[in-house]
Amino acid sequence: MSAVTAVPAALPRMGALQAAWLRHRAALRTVIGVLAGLAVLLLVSGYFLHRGFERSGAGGCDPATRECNERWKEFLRGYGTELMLGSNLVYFLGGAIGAFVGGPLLAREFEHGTFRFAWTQGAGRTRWTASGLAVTAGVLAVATALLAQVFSWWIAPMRQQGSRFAPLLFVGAPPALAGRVLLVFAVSALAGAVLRRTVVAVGIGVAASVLVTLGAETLRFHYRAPLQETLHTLSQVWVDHRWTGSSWYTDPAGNRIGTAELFDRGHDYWGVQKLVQDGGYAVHEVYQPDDRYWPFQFIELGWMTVLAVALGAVTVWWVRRGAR
Amino acid sequence: MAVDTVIDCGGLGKRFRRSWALRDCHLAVPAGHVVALVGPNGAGKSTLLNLAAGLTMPNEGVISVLGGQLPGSPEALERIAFVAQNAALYPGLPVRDLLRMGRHLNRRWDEARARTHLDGLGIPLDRRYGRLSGGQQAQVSLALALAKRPELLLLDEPLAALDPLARHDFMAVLLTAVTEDGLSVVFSSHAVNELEQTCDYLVVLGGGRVQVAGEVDDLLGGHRMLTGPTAGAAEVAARLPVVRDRRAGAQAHLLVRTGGVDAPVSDGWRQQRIGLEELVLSYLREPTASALPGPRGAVRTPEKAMLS
Amino acid sequence: MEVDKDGDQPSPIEFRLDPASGVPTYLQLVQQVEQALRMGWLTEGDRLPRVREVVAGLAINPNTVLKAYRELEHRGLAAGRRGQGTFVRGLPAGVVPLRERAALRRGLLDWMRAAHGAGLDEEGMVAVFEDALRDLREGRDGVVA
Repeated sequence: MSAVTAVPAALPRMGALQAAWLRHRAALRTVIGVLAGLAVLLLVSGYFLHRGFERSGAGGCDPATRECNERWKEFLRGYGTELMLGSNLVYFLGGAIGAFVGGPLLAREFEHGTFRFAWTQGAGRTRWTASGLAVTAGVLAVATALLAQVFSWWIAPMRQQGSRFAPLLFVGAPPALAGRVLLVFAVSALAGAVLRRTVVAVGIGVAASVLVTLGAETLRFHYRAPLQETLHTLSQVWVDHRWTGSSWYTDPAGNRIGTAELFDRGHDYWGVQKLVQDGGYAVHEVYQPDDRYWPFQFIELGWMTVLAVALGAVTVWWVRRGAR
Repeated sequence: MAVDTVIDCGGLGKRFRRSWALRDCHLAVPAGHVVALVGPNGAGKSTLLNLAAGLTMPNEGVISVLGGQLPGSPEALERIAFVAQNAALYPGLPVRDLLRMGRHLNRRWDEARARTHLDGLGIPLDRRYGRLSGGQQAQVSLALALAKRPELLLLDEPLAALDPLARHDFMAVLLTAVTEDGLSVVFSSHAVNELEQTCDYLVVLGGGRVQVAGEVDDLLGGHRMLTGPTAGAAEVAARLPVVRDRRAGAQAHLLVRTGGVDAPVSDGWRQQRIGLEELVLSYLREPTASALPGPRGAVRTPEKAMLS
Repeated sequence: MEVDKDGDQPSPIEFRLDPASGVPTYLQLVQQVEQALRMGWLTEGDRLPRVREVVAGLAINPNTVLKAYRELEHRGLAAGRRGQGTFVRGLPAGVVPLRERAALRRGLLDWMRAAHGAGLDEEGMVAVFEDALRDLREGRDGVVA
């Protein structure tokens, strides 16, 4: 062999990451554009939502009072549909953003045959795949967290009458949503690597998005051991925004009684409230206090990210073992 | 750095689900050649190239490249370039970004060479790859491959989708690189009629096995087409290794391997050399015939040609 | 593809190929050099096209060009100078002065007319000519190209 040019000692530092950025830049721009569009939509509708909330006066009153409750219902009559629609969309489909990025990531390389180019470069397929996953996941997580920040502001009125732990609210906060998007991203990327079909991989990701949400909801209460407390009001929850897991009642003698029986004795909500406050009856609750909100957010982000990284490692291993 | 063989395989087999794409493949391709890999569809050409590039793993047997490197190993990836079928690259990326990608992903990278190549053909660097013509796409793929300054360049059907002019331009650039760098080239092709001018080593695959392997000059010099009386054909066929045997009532055509000299036959027989196209087609029509081992053959299959 | 960087004289000839001729590529190159010598397009000291130029122009294997140039050296028509290229050395054997050549051509034309008169068509004439040529070669030790 004649002319062999001088070979630098190592690959360009960060070379594979830069190459992956070039490769995925267009797709990421599209995703960021879509997310930015959603953010603008939330900002505009949020402006009216918040003004409506202020006008209704439900924000400034004591939620335990009947009057305040009426104001809240008034607000919901005007904006309830919008709030429910928005929060449910995020609840069920928030993670799907990850599927639309993760599904094509490797599947499209197979569909278009471009993996033959990518895998025969000096950097090798392992580095190529890992870089692609890392770059897209990083950008995706940051963009999602920013959108979730806007969403959390948008949905803020809901916090007034409930706990921040309410599933519809909790999953839309930046750490939880970013974690879910990462996990869904990793699932669909792996599906794309194994099945080599973009459409199928995206579909699996969307399904995973829903399953992850529901799964996380069953796990979440057990992130840390819950506290137990005996109360003498029905509406304590709204005062300190705690997350009640389960509750039961006892009569003045200390015997456990059911909700139906209690309401028989008190006739209606306000009657029961009177029994609980003054009649010796008690409410017992197992709950997570409000100050565990951020630890729980980061626990959720944590396990989802760990799982996503593990799936990413499986994806790289799958690509590396050179099956087929 | 000089290596003897660029592709060396023994007992190589690759199975897709239940059928074998390549089976019991023995081959030693010497360095410094432009090697054409020909054969019918499904003969295992792409499979062999993908195995050599390290894109797939064999189910049985062994394959090494560039004198003992494992395909797909970092060392091999650095010294081998691969141009995929249909020159598949990212359609949304401008040519400039494809070049940048190549630079980021390779230790050896000759940017000036790629730019000279593309400028010379008037291919705009800011055009998206997907919007280039087929010929231009092939050239960009080739430019990316050559910028690695590979010692071995593998190309899977590089000419299949190109018009005659684009084919000519493509081969001109490729062979110029061969002249300048002395790199070895292995490419698969259907265009048998165009091979004689471009390749100097030929590998014919048929039904997943190597049927013919050798230098083109040796192959052309080592075969004779004998035309003579059918009555004497059996006697000739018994003495000489016949590749293809066609007999009509009075006249017979026998393609025989003679090993570089004229065939020892009587005056009634006329003997001619044949062209590469006819040679290749004759072998492809007779899947049981084989002409293996050329000068340095590491091939263990007994050298013989079968009678039909 | 840039032309010569060295800035020396470009070669006076350029090769072409006729894929349909059936003549091996390297031999076509050899014949074209011989032809150019006969016609006076190439004279002693002229440089033949560089291998790289021929390859870039015709898209043929560089070994083919090298083989043609080796054959030209073997025939004494050209000589390689290390690092500079291949240069024309002399006229091919069998080149005869123009006047003599014209006379030979007239003789052949007379033969052809006679053959035509005897009922031979063009292909028949070629067959007889090639046959005779073979006898001539074999009579002279049989050097086959």
